[in-house]
Amino acid sequence: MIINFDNAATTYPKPESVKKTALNAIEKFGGNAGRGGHALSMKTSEAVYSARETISEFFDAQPENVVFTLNCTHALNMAIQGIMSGGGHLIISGMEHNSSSRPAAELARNKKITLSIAQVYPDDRRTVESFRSLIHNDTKAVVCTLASNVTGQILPYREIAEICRKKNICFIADGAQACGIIDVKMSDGINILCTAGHKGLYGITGTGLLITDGKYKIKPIIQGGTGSSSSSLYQPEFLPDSLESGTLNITGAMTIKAGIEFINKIGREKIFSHEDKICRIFINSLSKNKDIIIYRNPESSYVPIVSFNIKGVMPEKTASILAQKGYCLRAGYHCSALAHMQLGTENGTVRFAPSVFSNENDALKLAEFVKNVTVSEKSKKSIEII
Amino acid sequence: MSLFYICLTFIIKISYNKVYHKYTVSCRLMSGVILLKTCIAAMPSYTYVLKGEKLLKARGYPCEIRRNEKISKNGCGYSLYIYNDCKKAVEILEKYSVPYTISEYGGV
Repeated sequence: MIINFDNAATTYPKPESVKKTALNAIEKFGGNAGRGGHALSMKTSEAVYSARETISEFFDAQPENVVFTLNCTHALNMAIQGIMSGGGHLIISGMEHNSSSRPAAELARNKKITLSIAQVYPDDRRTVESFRSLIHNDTKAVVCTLASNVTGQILPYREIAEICRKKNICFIADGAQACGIIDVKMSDGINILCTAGHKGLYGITGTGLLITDGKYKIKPIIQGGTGSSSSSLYQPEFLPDSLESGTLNITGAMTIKAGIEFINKIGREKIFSHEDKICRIFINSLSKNKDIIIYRNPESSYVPIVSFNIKGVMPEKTASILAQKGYCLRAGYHCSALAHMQLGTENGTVRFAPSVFSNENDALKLAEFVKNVTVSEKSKKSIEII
Repeated sequence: MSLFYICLTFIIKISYNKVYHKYTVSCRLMSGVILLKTCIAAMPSYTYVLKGEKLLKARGYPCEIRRNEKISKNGCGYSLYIYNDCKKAVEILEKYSVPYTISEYGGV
């Protein structure tokens, strides 16, 4: 028996419509989009364009400004390296996933940019001020996760985006934990939105999106065949081709469309309410236990993710015990060195992340089991001391 | 602008029913070539040609995507064959920022 509460890593299971779309894509859309004039290629091209249309409507963008990537990391690397190619100063938040902090750190280490890290606080006003205070004349871009993949904290991204707009600074958003969960639109002031296709958007793994408002030119980091301007040795300058070299993950693109249609059918707000309720039930069940630390602050707002620890028990051990009972939770650093540094969790945390397919009953049973683990680990330690 | 003349071929059948003393006339279209004004808008990628097609068809402008037969100086690509008032059609493309080059006016 498997009960997946690690949906922040990737959502599982996928909706039936997404599974059917994947199979249909393999069976009927076997051409290469944008290459060739025969029926197979044109049919596949239309399917990919249709995916761009659905995605662009969902995020309030233009279809040609939707770029398919391998994952959110790929999108963030393209955005950060593409925007900072000429050097300058970059600000990232103190809760960034390694998919933004690593490319940023590498550019800084190679002295191609200067880098600042903005502290994130439970109080949004302090977080906004933290970003503002780091901006100077050379600041070219700000990278900000919309919601932390460790704690779920939603950052005040609209306010930060507004500061960037006034200062003519490119605002790059990591929407991996927010897209499909909270209402994310390019009109929030986002210049470049990077997100995963396989998390809150319910597409298959191997998918990501980079969506731009077109204001800032993104220098490509990969060059290759695009099915356009093919007599030129140089990468086309128009989107999406400039950032889409090589054959797309066509099946993946079609599943993102199916995933978004699934979200629209149920209602994004309904999905958020459902998952949020499950998180609250989980937290309420554990909160009275003094041996359990829950990393949430009443001043902040959150997407449906909860990080916790059992005092005196390594997070990996907790997760391992839970896994033996079929509960899938991720422990450790969650590829977010900065976030754990900020939290002070030197051994990481255990992360609870439901999806639309999770239910309250399973969350309650898990919470009871966590409490039992707390008791049993505590008694083991008592025996050891004796 | 090249034009095709309408040429329609019908089969007209007249039959007489002796019982009811009635004539029945039926008419069937066999073939036709429709008069069209056509322009060909070459576009840089299939994404734009699809965007252009959807925009125009939604506004009542019949059009068709075709692979370019001749490799242009930009390489291989796609064009939108627009079978209607080209001037108004390209205004729509421009309004929605669809890049195009009118490669030629011509018939199919």
